[in-house]
Amino acid sequence: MTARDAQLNRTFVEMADTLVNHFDVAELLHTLATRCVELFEVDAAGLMLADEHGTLRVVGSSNEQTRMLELFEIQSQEGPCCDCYRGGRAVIEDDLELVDRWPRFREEALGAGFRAAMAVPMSLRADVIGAVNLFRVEPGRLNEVDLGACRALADVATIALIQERALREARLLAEQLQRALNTRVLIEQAKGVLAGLANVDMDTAFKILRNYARGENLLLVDVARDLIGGRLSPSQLGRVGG
Amino acid sequence: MADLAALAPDAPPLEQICRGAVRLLGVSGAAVILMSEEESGALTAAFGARVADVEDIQFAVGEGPCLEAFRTGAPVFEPELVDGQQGPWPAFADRALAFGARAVFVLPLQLGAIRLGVLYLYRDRPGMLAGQEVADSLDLAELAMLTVLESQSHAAFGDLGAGLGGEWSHRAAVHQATGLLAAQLGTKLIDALARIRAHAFTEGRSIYDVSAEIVSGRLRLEP
Repeated sequence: MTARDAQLNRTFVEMADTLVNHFDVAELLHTLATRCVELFEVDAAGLMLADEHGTLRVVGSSNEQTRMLELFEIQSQEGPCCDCYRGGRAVIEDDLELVDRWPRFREEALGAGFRAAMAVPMSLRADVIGAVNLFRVEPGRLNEVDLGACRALADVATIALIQERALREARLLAEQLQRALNTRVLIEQAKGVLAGLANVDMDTAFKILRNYARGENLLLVDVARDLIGGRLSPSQLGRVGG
Repeated sequence: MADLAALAPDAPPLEQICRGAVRLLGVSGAAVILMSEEESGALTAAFGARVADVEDIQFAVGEGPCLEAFRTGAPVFEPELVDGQQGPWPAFADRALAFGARAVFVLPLQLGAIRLGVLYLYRDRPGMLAGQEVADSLDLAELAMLTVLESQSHAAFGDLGAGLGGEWSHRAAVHQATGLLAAQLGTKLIDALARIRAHAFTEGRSIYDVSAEIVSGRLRLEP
């Protein structure tokens, strides 16, 4: 195994680790971009992911220069990443000086000193979530082996990202559900507390709580919690209609 | 795993899971119970004889395998319930045995640190689940969790998802009575609830009847 193969293996392990441990998405994307430059014959690398509207946004770069970021920015409209994301296939341009597609991107890239650009899809089955963007100062492209390795890295990163997204959504739903379950108990308890303190029946207690919440523009559950916690007294709540 | 939907194509998804549990694991009853930090939980879906009764006991007495699984986040397998004071939940066990439960198995429904409830299984004969049944029960709990989250994903903010409300309305009176008693006695809610449970227990009455009387003012518990 060559030193480079060993380095590639280490990178896979690094990516795979994120699948089992809690990880920072921004960190993962930055690592992937940096490793691409270390592993392959490219001079800059960046990652673009589609936002909820399907617009590509730069999320990680081996190089944080403004000029570089602008080069990514343009690709939300035109360029190899844009075509790669839409087509779901790698897009390779060996020499930007010899092409006339992507006029704005081409001009910007050449101006930044790059002659070649490539984009590899980040996809899981039919689901394309973004693209890995590679730039070379010299004309030319990655050989097939490197292109394959780059694709494999992009796939692993994609799995990590999709998994993280699903987990984040599930966690949000679980929290909402938990809150809704707690809420209904708290409101019934607060009705009881107010009924006991103000000597009113349950319906009246509920009306007092609800009117106060509406009048103060508060959530009913927060009023319930404050009453139970003694931070609100029955006299502060006022009377129904009063 | 068997095709759960084939068992009752028109049943709501959580009930299908309960039906699947009864068939796959050879248990007498299964229930999905969503729980809050404030109470033992409310039955959301169930299948099998008397499962509602056995679950209700835990709310009435304030102890049992569902509460333990919910609090610890770990499965609770009790292959043989014993009466008297020997088991971990004597008040629960006495009543559960009277209802015909001989073994209980409870799997928590949780996502990381967030706990939402349990999958509750009971059997009318003693004995542990077989190795494959344990694995299947964990899969079913996972499936129940995903189904619950799927239902919640269509709910408006602050609301419970469709079908997740459970049979809860009869419990409202217990929570109202808890608040009322806490205000009257100047105690914490948890102590007031314990007082109501103790009263129902010693009088041999249902916690729901006792709570309704407290709410209506017919019953006044002294400090």
